[in-house]
Amino acid sequence: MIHLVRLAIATGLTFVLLALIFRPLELAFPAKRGQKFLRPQWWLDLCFFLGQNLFWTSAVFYVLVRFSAWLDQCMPYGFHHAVAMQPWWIQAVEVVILSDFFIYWGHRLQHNWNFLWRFHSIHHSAEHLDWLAAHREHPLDTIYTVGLINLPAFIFGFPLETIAGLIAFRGIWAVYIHSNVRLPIGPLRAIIGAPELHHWHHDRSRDAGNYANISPLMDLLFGTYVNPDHEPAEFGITEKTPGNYIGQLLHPFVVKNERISELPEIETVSCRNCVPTGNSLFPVTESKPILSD
Amino acid sequence: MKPRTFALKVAVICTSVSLAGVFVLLQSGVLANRSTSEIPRRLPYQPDDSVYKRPFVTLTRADGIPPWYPAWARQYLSFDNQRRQTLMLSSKSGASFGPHWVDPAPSSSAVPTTLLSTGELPGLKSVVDTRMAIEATERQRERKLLMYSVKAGAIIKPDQLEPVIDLLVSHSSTPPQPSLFVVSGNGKLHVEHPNPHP
Repeated sequence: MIHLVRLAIATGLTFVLLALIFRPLELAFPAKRGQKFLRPQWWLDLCFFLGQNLFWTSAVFYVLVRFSAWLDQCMPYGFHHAVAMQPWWIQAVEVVILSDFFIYWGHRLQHNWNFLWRFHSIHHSAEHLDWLAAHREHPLDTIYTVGLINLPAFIFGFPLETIAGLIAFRGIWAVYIHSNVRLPIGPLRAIIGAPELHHWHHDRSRDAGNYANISPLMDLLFGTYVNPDHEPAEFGITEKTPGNYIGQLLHPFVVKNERISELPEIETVSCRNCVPTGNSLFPVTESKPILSD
Repeated sequence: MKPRTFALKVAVICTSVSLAGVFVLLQSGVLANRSTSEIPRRLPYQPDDSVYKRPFVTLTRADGIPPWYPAWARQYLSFDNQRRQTLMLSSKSGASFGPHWVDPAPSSSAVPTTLLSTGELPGLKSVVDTRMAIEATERQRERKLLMYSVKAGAIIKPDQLEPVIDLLVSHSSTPPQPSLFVVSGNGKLHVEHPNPHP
């Protein structure tokens, strides 16, 4: 009982703290002006936030710990030793780059493999992005994503408590890139990433690009970097999803296993067909995405 | 942009970044604590035989194996830095360690400072689980514990594991100031010199 009370208090504090961090930013630097705090489907996203913090995080954590221990048994001792002999900063850089690599390709797989897309589409069903919408994620999708992000650290043999800071940072970064914020950082966004890049990932096209987690380096390397100087007209997916929490949790198990048809007027925005225009990349051979005002 | 607006926006960024830093610190603290404090409770195996509920047995000799010691069990050697006494812990892999298990003499101020796995047995779980369990127990007791969990094949530097020297000296005729300790697959400690032919 005490554990539940603590969990509830921690969830409440997390909500307040995240709101204090991101709401002023969303007001001062809005990506989409005029979006209200209580925008449509806010309560649905609140359910996801509460579900994630009250129930699913523990389950995800349990799976991660077991997975980490299992992987630790599989790896040869010589490999762990060789990794541990390196300076710590090299290990840190290796973990971050490998994490980005793993999550990049894992994320592309989520968009291309229908089975994974069933779960990931729940996250993309959000039609309004802000810091709360970041929490709309199916629990199984969370396990997949968090597992992939931390896979290199587990392979290297880092205990979970050692990489806790990195996990926490990636967590709040994920909230940040979903927030309704557009900070004027110019070309820096191509190095450190930015919400507007991820907003384009939430464009209604299933193959909208920008799959990287923190730095867009992987998108630049593999030709999926998209950076128009405006926001997408609409977020969401073309598929219909339930409007309630339980329905969304069950949706991956009842949806047909078919690739969702794209809207005819929206085509894939790929960096292979882009030319740099200032700090933006626009497609030159394919149709442009719908422009916002 | 008006100076006042600019200042306000800078203040918003600074405040948000600061709060985000606090959030990351808190969150990582919670995660780190959970990874060590919750795992023991989740380990599937709980010892059901009372004989195995005596994980620490104080021995007068490092090679003294208690008669009840099960052949299948994993062995741990722990060294008390202050008293130079060798303690032995035997448990099934995955066992959960309660606080009363860790310290063989609660009234004593001595804290085991080194934990060694002396071998892996097939079918048992990794060392990581047990190490975490013991760390968590120590953390719950708010006692600072310098601990090593060593797998077979691991190489330990002398400055990391000074107490082992005593064990090695008592166990073998190896030089008293070896350069590297190697834990072999059969659970025995060996000494290696980085430069065997100087």
